[in-house]
Amino acid sequence: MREMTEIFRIETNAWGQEILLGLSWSWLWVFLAAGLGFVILHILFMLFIEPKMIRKRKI
Amino acid sequence: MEEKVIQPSRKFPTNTKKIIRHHLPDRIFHWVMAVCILVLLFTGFLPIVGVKFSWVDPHWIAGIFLTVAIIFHIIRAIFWQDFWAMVIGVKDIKGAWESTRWALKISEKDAGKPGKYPILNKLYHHMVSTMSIIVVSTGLLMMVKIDTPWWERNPYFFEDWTWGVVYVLHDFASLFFISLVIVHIYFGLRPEKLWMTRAMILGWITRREYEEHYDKEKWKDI
Repeated sequence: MREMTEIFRIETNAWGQEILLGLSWSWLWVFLAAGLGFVILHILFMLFIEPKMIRKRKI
Repeated sequence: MEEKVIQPSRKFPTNTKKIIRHHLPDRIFHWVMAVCILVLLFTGFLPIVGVKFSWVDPHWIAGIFLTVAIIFHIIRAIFWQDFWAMVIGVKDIKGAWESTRWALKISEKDAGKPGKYPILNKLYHHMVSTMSIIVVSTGLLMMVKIDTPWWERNPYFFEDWTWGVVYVLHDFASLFFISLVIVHIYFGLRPEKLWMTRAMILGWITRREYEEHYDKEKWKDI
């Protein structure tokens, strides 16, 4: 059950039944980090890899 | 000085210097959607990170605005715009594969420039569309559980398990939007992409930008 509560928000109702409340809020930081991580990786790519490795179209 | 903007026509206007990329209704839709998404993200997630305020009313009102905006966009895309221009076809995938190999100097065969919507534009659009449909449909269902001017709350509309699934889908799509918005704003602010941001504000791109980035044969409808 511990693993489940890390993924989902689960609560016990008045009748002792477990009910699903949604995704765990710790996912908030994962999605935030994914967005910011992409930005950082792209900046690094554009600074160091793109000028050397990527061919550009002549206009 | 640039010449005046010539309104779109099926014929290619050879004497223009400004070319319409986004018409006014589409730009209004984009910015209404942007404001709605930001309001929804902030009202949805700030209370979770500890910023407490009365978030429910602004959240569902922004959700209604977003729903109306999306319905408007779908109708406009079907009846007024080239709906198929946004669909990813075999040509797009083949072109992206060839362009990547050419750019990485693996192959000398160049697929050439894309049409109005390059494949990465289309992919981003489809991710936003998918997440929007999930978040709006589940959000509308969740409105059954709050009091609005039109109805009183009914928490027993679904069984607990069904509500759980609705919440999980709403949470997932909302969280996905955090990454999507960060990436979108980042690209909108990158120096080499500012011409696209300008097009989303003012509507036009220059003829030079058009010729630099697009294939005239693939994007004729300007």
